[in-house]
Amino acid sequence: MSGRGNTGNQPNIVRDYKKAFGQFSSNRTQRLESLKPCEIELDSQEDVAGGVHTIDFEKGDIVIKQSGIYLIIACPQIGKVRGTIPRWIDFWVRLNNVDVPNSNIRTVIMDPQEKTVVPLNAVLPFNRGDTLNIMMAAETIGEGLGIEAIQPDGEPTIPSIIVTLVQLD
Amino acid sequence: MAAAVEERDSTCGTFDWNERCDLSPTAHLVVGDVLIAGSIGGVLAFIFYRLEHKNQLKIDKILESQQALNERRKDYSVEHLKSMLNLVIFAMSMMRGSITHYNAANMLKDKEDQKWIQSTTLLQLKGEEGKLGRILQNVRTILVASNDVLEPDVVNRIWGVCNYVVGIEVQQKEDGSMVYPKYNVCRLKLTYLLQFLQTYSQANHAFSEKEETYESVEFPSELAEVREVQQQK
Repeated sequence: MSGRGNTGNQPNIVRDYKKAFGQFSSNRTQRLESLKPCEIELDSQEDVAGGVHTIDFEKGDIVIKQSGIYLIIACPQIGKVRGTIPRWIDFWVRLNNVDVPNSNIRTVIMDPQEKTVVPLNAVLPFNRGDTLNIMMAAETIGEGLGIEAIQPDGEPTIPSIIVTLVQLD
Repeated sequence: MAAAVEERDSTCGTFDWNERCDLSPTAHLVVGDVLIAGSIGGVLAFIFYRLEHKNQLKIDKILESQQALNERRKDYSVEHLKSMLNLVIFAMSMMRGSITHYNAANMLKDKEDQKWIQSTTLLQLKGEEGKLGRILQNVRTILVASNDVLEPDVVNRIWGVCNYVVGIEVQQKEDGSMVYPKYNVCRLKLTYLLQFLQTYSQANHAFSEKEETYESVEFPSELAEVREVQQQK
């Protein structure tokens, strides 16, 4: 399960939030190894400065702890390893193992130098305990299509995906 | 009657009725009709009112009994769902236990023992898997049967958890060990759902608006369980 929020300079203060929020990312490059839809795995959650995490995650599963309507924004950093043929890659949202209709987006990658970020957004009602996955599928598996974490010199790491969830109501 | 008509003053109007003028035959007829119609109408109105009142009482009684029946069905559904979901958790932990035993047997030096233990636990695992499937089917049947008494939000929520749990299958890794993917998440979802169902009150036949907490449930890792089994041996 995700790490708890670091209390930082104010260890005795426990913050309580009325609305849930969460920011997740993955610092691992994930390339498709099968033509089947694949769950994107997350490996870190932003600290909440002395508070408790209002949304949890385990690998690719984002677990909602408070019922409500949420805005979801997921931004995968897309790339490929080889090949110059334009290839598509799709991203969508899956809720409780069921694909969410009208959440799918597609981008086309031409060559390995091309890096792009495609924002995926949705507003969905969630119940406590619901699990959310960001899914991806691509046209081919031979060209290393997927999401890439990049480590530039003198800059913070570019995560392979950043997912933001904010409770609206 | 004819004499009375003849004696009537010609200056009196048809509907005049006083000391000097008697009621004319026409007015007599009209007033008589009105009185008769009024009294018949009154009697009929009273009869119809009584009938309608009786019918309304009967309808109210039927509605009340229907409402009571629905409330009983709702109570029963929630209780049944709670026990079924507890059974789901139990079956899942049994499966997890079998997997742990199976994986622990991988480390045995005696290959005969290993084979025997693994084949036995695999059989148990299959049995538990079948049981879990049947329990989940029962949960869905309850939801279908009582979707008219349970709130749509509640039905969707339980349906969502069932969809999630039913999609998880035990997998075998390349090294031969078995794994129950997303066991922790499944258990967490079921725990949250049971916590929600616990808020149901049979007094007012409704779920209470209990404040949801952010506390999450931590579970021991699979590795820790394997070690525990080994220590027990």
